[in-house]
Amino acid sequence: MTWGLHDSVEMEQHGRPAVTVVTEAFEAAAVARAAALGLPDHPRVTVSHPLASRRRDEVSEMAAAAAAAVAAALMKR
Amino acid sequence: MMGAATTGRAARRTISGDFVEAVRYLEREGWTDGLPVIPPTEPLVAEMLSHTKRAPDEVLGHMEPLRGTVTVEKVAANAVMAGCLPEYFPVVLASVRAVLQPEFHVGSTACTTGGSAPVIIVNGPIARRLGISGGTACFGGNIKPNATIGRALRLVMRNLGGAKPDGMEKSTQAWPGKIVGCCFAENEARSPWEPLHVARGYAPETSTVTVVAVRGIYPVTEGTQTTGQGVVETVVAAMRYLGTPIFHQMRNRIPVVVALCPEHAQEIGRAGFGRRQLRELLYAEVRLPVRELIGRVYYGTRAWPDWIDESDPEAQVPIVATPDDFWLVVAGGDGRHSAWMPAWGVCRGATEVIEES
Repeated sequence: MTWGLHDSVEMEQHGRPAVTVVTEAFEAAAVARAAALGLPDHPRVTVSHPLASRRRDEVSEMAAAAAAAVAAALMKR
Repeated sequence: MMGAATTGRAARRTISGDFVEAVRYLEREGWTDGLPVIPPTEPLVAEMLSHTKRAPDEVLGHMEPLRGTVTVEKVAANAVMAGCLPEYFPVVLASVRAVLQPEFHVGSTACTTGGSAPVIIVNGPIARRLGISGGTACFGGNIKPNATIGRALRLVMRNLGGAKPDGMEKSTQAWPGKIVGCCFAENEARSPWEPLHVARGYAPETSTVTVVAVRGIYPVTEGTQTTGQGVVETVVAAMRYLGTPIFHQMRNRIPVVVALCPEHAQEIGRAGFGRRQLRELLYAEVRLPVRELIGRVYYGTRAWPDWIDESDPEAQVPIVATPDDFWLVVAGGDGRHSAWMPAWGVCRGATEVIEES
């Protein structure tokens, strides 16, 4: 999570819209980290946990379900 | 009393009550690791600071993940809380400077689910002078400088970096090194080889800390073989271990600490191995075949160089990228128990000189 969020915040700081997708287990950490990096309102889409143990087709389903939220977060920036 | 503010000069706070009430106050503020601490009163912090030439307000860096400002004074306050004697302070400062090096990646090591914690290896004459143990039970923490120096570094990481279990600290399990770290001296007197810091380019009379974050201490017992060759074979077999992600992380150039007990080291030395030969043998032998690594552990995020032919199930994957990434040290007392400690994730470790005032 740490470096994914780091990269997204850096993208935003370079003027590119970005959003971080995290699992529920990392939500609190993502909030704290984004604030520490200077972007407390950095957009975030939260999906269920765990992720790493899911099959490819399950992950594709999760991605499809989250896509609209990701797009909406990007369009707002 | 001094608080651990996140920026600038450490805050002064006045609290009333006795010693235990002061300790409870620090616990409520979230500045302890769950064990009692010594309240960092101004006189105690000043005494700690008298063991460095650096100014109290000097900024050493910013501690990830939450980027607290690390000043010399704040490090001193945490060293007092950890129970350090003032003369330990140069070792604590060097350890903090080491984890602030970019190649240490302290933010990742502090937050990872992998639960890594810092190992501090002390080399040079200061170890003997301060009584930092590299002998019997040196990893065990029940030796004052070993326990308190390691704990001071962990309190600095926790209080200034902000990785605490209710927020950025995400260790699935962690290990007790998260409390006291793991600080020990190399047992230079009983080593058949030049010490670690000399191998890393420092003079023997220079004192250093070499710090690396590890997931834990993996033991190697060999009490039957009578030759160094036999001991090496057991060490190699123990390190061909699937349940650590390091075989998938070779391109990150992270090291493996191989901590040989004096008896094992001397047997290996008598068998004709120098430091270089032993590292090269480990590099050639501590490998797992591609077929065992496919689809397991951290395969999905593997960082392998191009020369590994993934289409060949028998292709051999080394545990580290080069022989130099084995950090050989001699540590421990009598007996035939060694250990190895793979660095975590992206932590390449760092060495810093201990500045003696």
